[in-house]
Amino acid sequence: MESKKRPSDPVAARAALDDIDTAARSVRDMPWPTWIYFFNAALFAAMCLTRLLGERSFTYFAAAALAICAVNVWAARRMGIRSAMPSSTGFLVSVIVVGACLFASMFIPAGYPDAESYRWIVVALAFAAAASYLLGSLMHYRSTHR
Amino acid sequence: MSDELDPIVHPTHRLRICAMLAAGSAVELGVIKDNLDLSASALSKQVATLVEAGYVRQERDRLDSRKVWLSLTRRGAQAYRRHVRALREIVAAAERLPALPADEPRISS
Repeated sequence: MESKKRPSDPVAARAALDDIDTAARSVRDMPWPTWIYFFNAALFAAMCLTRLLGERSFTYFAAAALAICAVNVWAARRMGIRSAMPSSTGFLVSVIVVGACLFASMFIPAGYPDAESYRWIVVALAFAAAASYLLGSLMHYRSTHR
Repeated sequence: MSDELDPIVHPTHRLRICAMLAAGSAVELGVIKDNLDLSASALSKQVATLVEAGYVRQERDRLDSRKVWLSLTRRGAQAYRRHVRALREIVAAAERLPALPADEPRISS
């Protein structure tokens, strides 16, 4: 019969904690379909570039954000999980960089410092977002295919 | 206040199931089966115990009724977190104790 009393064996407790870590990682580090890395990178870049579309830029930005959410939720459900935070620190850092690029592209004043430079800054942010995400994807892919 | 080990969560397979559900918010039963390397009937027993205790919610997929999704209930998530804290306390307490010489008998509580 299972005992409610706390076992005094720290070795068994440590083994249980290792078990928990392994089980959690089996979910957090499930391999993703390869196409989703490229899809997300392309849409993150597109989200930055929507800033160049003038007055309707927010509509396109929101549409791209919704598309990313919908496709990632659909892909996760196909994998058999609803959502999970990957354990790859490199990947998580790359996602933070993507967020910073998106934030900067949304809030950079239009036409600053001049029209030509402004376009190049937005394009550079889009490139940085895609490159950062792809680099993070590589780290994620390696962490899930050991 | 120190946390107690939960007798429902404590057995290895149930602990692993809870860890997977805590990591993935909701996980399809087939994914759990593949990772635990349990037979369908053995897994079903473990899941039934967690469901009966009110720790796990079981739902059929709306689009594909062959798929069953499991998720931790609020009560289950609390019990799992308490259990993990209790395990960490045991390990931490052991690390605070000075090491005994190999020939000295250990007193178990």
